[in-house]
Amino acid sequence: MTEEERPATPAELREAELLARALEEPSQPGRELTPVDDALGTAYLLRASKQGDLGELRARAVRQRIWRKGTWPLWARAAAAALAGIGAAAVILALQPRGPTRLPPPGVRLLQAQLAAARPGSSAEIARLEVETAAYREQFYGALGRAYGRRP
Amino acid sequence: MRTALVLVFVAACLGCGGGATRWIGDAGRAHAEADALERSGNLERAGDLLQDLVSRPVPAGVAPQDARAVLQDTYARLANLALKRGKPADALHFADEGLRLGEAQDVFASSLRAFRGRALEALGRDAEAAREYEAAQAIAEALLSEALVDGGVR
Repeated sequence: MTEEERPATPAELREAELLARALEEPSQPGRELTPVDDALGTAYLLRASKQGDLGELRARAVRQRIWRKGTWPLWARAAAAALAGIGAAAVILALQPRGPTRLPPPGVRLLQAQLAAARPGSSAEIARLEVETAAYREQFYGALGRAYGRRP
Repeated sequence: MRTALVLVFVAACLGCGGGATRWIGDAGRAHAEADALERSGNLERAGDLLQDLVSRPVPAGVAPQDARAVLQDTYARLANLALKRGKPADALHFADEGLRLGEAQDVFASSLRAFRGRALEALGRDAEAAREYEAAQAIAEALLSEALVDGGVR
């Protein structure tokens, strides 16, 4: 007589009956917690912990807690997306190394004044250089203002 | 939370660009104010104003060549103001500070060399002054040749 052919013991029969009842009536309220329920629950928990899984419901709850779905109206989500786009563009522009501004070429009068000032002499040459430099400075800051944008 | 982070990031980035714009605007205004102060004879106040400009940190958004041009122009003007106030040692210091930023074949380097020569001359260091004048003239002559080839009197 093999192990399978051996008739069930009263204890095994009782356990089988309890298991069948537990499977047939899983959600009956007020049902007494039996060793079979307990064993099934433990087995489920062990299997879940071994697989590192979250139950479907629990996973959804966690996802909803992290990423609250549907709490923002469509316009707010669109505005957030637009802001993120502007932010990305601003970051790209800010991080991009700016090239030098194309400054106006110095005029002949300024260069002549520089030549005159670059030798020992009276302050008249310096006064002329000041006038020409001030005129060039105006053009120079105009070019920089156009390149960097003006601010009142 | 995410929106707040995005907004902070955008504000920070706009702040970077705004800093450069503000710095350029402030520099232009400082020179305009210094013009008025010089006209009224207040050379000391004009110098203080420009010194304040060069002592500020240059925002990261300003191109290095542009920063150099703005600062060298300001240092040259500070050197000239110091010479006018009879302070050649200060003038030499300002010219040196300006040249320390780098040297290109442009009007800013030429001016700094010329004012450095004037300062050295005032300090009795004639040989050094002559060398500075030569350097300033070499730059100005090269630029003048280019300007004459490109298109005449401006």
